[in-house]
Amino acid sequence: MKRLYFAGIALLLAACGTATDQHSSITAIPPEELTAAADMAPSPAAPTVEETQVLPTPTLTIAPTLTDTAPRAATPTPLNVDLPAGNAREIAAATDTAMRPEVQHLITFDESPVSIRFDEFYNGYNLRTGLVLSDKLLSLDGQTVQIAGYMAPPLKPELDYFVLTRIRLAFCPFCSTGADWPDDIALIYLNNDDTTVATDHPMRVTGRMEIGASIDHETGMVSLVRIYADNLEIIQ
Amino acid sequence: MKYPRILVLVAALATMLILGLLPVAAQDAVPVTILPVTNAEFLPGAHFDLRVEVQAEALPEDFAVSINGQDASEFFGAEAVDENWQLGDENPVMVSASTWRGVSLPEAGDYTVSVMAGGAETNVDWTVYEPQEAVAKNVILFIADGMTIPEITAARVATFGIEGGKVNGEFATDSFDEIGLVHTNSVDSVMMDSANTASAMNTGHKGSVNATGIYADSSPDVLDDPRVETLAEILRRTTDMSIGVVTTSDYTDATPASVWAHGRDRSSGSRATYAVQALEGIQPDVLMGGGAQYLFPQSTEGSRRADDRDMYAEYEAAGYTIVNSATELNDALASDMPEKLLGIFHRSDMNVWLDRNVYTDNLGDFTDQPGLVDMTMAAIDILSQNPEGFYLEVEAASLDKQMHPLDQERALSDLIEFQYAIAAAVEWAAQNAPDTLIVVTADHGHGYEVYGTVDVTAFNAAEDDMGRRQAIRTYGAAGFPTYTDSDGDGFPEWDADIVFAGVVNNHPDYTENFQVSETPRVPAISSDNGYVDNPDDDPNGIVMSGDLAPSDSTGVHTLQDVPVFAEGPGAEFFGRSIEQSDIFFGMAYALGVDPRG
Ligand SMILES: [Zn+2]
Repeated sequence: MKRLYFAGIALLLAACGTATDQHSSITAIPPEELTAAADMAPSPAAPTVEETQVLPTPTLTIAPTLTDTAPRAATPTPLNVDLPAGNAREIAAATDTAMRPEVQHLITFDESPVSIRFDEFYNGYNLRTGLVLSDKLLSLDGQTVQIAGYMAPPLKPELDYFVLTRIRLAFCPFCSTGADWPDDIALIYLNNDDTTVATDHPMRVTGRMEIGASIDHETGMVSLVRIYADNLEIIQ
Repeated sequence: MKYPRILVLVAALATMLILGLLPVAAQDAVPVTILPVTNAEFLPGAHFDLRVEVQAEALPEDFAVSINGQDASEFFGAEAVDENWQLGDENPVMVSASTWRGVSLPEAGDYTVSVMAGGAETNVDWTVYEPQEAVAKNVILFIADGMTIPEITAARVATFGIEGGKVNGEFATDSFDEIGLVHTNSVDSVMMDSANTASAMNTGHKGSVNATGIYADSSPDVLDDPRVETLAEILRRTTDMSIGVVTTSDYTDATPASVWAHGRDRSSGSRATYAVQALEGIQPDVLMGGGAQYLFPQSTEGSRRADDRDMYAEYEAAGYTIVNSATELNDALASDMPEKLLGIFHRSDMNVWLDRNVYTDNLGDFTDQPGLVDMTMAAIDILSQNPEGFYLEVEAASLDKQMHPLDQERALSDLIEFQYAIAAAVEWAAQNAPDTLIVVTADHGHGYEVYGTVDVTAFNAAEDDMGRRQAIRTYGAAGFPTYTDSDGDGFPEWDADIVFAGVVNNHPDYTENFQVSETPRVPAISSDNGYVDNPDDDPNGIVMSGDLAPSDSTGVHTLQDVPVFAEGPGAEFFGRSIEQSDIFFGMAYALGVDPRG
């Protein structure tokens, strides 16, 4: 098992183990290269919640299969959780590769990886169909992208997946029932046996982007945008 | 309801017993909780669940529950279901419980519930009141979330101005016949939120913070807590009246959902469930507000459901006409008046009056939202088609939602809009249905008050906080604010030269410049040390040192009686000092509700 290490937290890593792979020696990126993500730091207050009590976490209920829904921009990855137990990201990856969203206006990109910002994901909210996915986001299905953001406070110390957010979250939506995930997020799966550790710093993720609803077999989290990360970088 | 002092003492002792605070005499005695709690009040025949919890691996051998001396199962003609669960993670204790679901108390009178467990007896006392003869055909309950007397006073002055020491106009509630005071405390706390307060008004039962339509138990399941029946549920079960719910918040939020919902935790996780409960329960004839995100299946971008239910499709299949904008609402009313209407005008909470009408750049994707007056009158138009009458709850949700981030102009504007909605309903009732009881109240308070005025020019010219404080004028020097209504829309223009020195008495670290913000306020932002001043909010403001825990991002609810105003048949019930749960009884008495059918 190898770990993806952040240059910015080498000291922390020394306590956890030895950096042995090519990902550990990544040069810090100057702040001016940061996208809209970093401009938002520190994050605004979480939406006002009146709840003050700590309540037990209910089990997430998941319907066994996806029923046919109205036509939508993206063809969803089947939300089938009756798959054999095993590696959540392999299951997701297999279905992700098989499913292609329908794009109205396909955009072709000269660069690779393609840079995308969270504020380019959506094109408004339709009260009858939900968030409208942008042509750019839809066109990036299956492509290698680069995106900057923050790691949401994770569930466990050693991670083979995490959630990348546009703004830094002060709370862990995984852990509290009262908290919602913001829209501007991407589920990041690390490749194969890679793991990483939590960080507060802005970061950049490079990897293959997949679009469409998919359920994580381990956490039950439904994601709409996933990145199978080849590379993680801390932005200093 | 008033209690003799001795009863209150007995109640306090019983509560201590329930909480396990008193040493129990018998050796094997175990802490016992009886839900509904002591002092609970009912109408005869109203459905509820009785749950008795015992902190033990199993129900003790001598476990017995009786109502006025009769075995509970015999008394109710129903069997209990026994369950147990683990309470707490670090020092877990086992809880065993016995629950009678859907039972009722047949006649008016006093009831004592006795539980024998481990050699000790625990009692709670309940009261059942006699139903009254109907005097009203319709009831409209207006709730302004977080509205207080100081807010009403400030909004009135800003709207009408002062001449010769007298306010130059009146709000709708200023001419109501009856004015009373409402005590808002909770079962589990001296403080309260919008869930248990609105629930008290809709069920006649005080509850715990965050809880709707239930008595909070100790089980981890937030949906299995013992229920009490809501007024709307009783009306559905025993009458042919129509039911409507209008709010400017997400329609599954605490105040609107209290008309039909049952759950321990009002937070986001339960809202998707409350959207289902509305449909599978009483199916209100009119539902209007925000909250589209709880209607999409989880696979839809922007959904906040955790299942695959397409609630729009389900509401449609249940016969609802669905509208998503002010234009669609008007069109629906203009063509065939719908019998059932679902109006969803925002993905979450609707925008406030000030953003809908002045700072429209803040509306984002939702540029065609109806106002509270239009929604209220649309609801009345639909509901009043029913000759059997209706119950309508109308909520102005955003006084609270804007007082939390200390935004006086956004909160007060919504209070003014609320008053215009009441005025429209009063006028409708006068012309069409004088047998309509209109009750106006708040669910809880906020610590906002005006203590003078601010000279904005001097304030903004000052170089430091000492200079800015010189621009705050009090007593005679305060003079008058110079808010005007030059466009004649009935709302003050807030960007005046002399403005209210108005603040909220509890807050995080923040800065205050007393002037209207073009964007909704975010006074504090998170940091590693909790919430700290947001440098982008009122950057020229006076530094206000936080008086809340650093984990609190905004102001919180405060302890005070809230006002209740009532007009129409049955109004006289409300003109006094009452518990919030009494509002249920006042409305039920006016309608002649007898839950026995
Ligand atoms: Zn509140």
